[in-house]
Amino acid sequence: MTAATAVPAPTKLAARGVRIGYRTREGRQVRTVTVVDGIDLDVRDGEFLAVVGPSGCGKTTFMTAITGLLPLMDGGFELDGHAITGPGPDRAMVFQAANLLPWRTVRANIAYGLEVLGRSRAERTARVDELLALVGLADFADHYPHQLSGGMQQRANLARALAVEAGLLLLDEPFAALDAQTREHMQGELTRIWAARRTTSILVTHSISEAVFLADRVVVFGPRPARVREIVPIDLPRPRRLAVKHSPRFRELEQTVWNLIESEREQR
Amino acid sequence: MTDLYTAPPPAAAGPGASPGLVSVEPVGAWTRYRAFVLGALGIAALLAIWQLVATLGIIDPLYTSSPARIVEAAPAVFGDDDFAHHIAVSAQEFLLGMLLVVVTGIPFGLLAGWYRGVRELTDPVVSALFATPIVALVPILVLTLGIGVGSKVAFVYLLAVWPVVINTTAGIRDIDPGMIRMARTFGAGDRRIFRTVALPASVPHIIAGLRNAVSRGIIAVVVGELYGASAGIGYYLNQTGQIFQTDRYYFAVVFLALVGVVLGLLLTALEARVSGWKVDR
Repeated sequence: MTAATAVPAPTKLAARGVRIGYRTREGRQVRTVTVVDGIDLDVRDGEFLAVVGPSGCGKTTFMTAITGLLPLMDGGFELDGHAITGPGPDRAMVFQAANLLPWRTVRANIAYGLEVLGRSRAERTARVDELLALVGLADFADHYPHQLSGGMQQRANLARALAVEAGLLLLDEPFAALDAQTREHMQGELTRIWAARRTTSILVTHSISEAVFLADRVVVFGPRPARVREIVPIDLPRPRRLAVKHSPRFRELEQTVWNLIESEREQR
Repeated sequence: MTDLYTAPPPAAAGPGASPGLVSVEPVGAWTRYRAFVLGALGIAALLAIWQLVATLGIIDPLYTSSPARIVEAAPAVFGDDDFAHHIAVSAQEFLLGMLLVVVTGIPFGLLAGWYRGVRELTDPVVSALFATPIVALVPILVLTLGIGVGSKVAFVYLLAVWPVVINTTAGIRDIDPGMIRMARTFGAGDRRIFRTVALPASVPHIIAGLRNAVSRGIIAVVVGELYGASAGIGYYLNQTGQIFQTDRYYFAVVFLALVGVVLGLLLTALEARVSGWKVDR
């Protein structure tokens, strides 16, 4: 609510007319399916932005494109004013499947991005210790991924992304594979962890409640091919605790987002 | 490990906090050695039955020996027959052949797994050679390379290299694409991805291939020596078998079985060392 009257923060990431298509081979033909069709979006510095939309609408494709791993058909992304041309240390991703390397301990997994960046052993150890404590995995530093529960694997996944201290954090349905209870708990943990540094973040989720709870703004995508349908500002005060989900304002915002998604569906 | 369902809040992780979620306790002796003890019992039972069959005269002792007589034959086998020399020759052939398998088969499998072009180019050839009864080549190998070590090394190689190539290729192909994507997203280049993701992920497959290669390699040494040789365990089998030296013959057979078992155990130990992350030990 405090930001409502202030000057909006500068743009961190800008999407300009982004179009993405998938090429698939079917027998003798190559088919191109447009998944994302012309997205313009500004992500402000220091904000938590959530993207929701009907399932299969192209949210995750849009997110993958921000990592620079997908060729675009048209348009582009600008991060801090520079065009994104490939993966880079200025972005870090929390994956839907934890994608932890099973032969590495939790500690070594969290250090992966730091290794790629060529950080010294001492620096890696210090950073990883800090993050193990932050995400609550200190007791499990030397465990292997298969010894962890799903929720703990996602904590390690999150810590690995936070470790590189990228300016933009990308969260691709990070809690989708968790059971409902663990999921809620992890949402609470994520706001707590996020509040510690307020890294500009983009969350893709199919849970409206998760989006409203975590985000400063919720972007609603229409059905495939994805376009920005509407952007809903979330004026719930921070720090937020899970109890806020029972407040009338939360329910109201949830309803607004839900209506936007549903009205899209009915139009089809 | 079902009680690891939720992590402790970070506050509880400090010293003096409530007992951690991880507790360590020693495993009982029976749990640790049960597989070993039961396995040894199985072998002992087999030997006992064999001894019984021989002692009761159910089978003509000219065609079959007995565990007791095999043990009795040991001094003659190592003394008069100089079995150690035959072992040395066979071991040399086996090890040289397997060395070639490892230094060419694994790199080639890695290449074929990593580069689609290499794989598409070589896959039909590899599959064809894997399916070919390479034993058919033994006469020509002995003819061209002689009855010495060379022909056996070539035969070991030709018989054992394919499972290593095929398994290594499959190991690389089998990698979870999500892990490659993860590494790329963090900015890892191809060489780093190969070293930190592809290689470790394919190690269990490579060892499975080696296991297969070892048993094929033993077969190759023996078959090669049976056909044409002047020394080696296969040659010894030929010599003793033809003159009904049944006890000495079976001594060599049992020796080969032991070698197979020991090599298998070594590979299991290696596997546990390099891919301990796969199982909860």
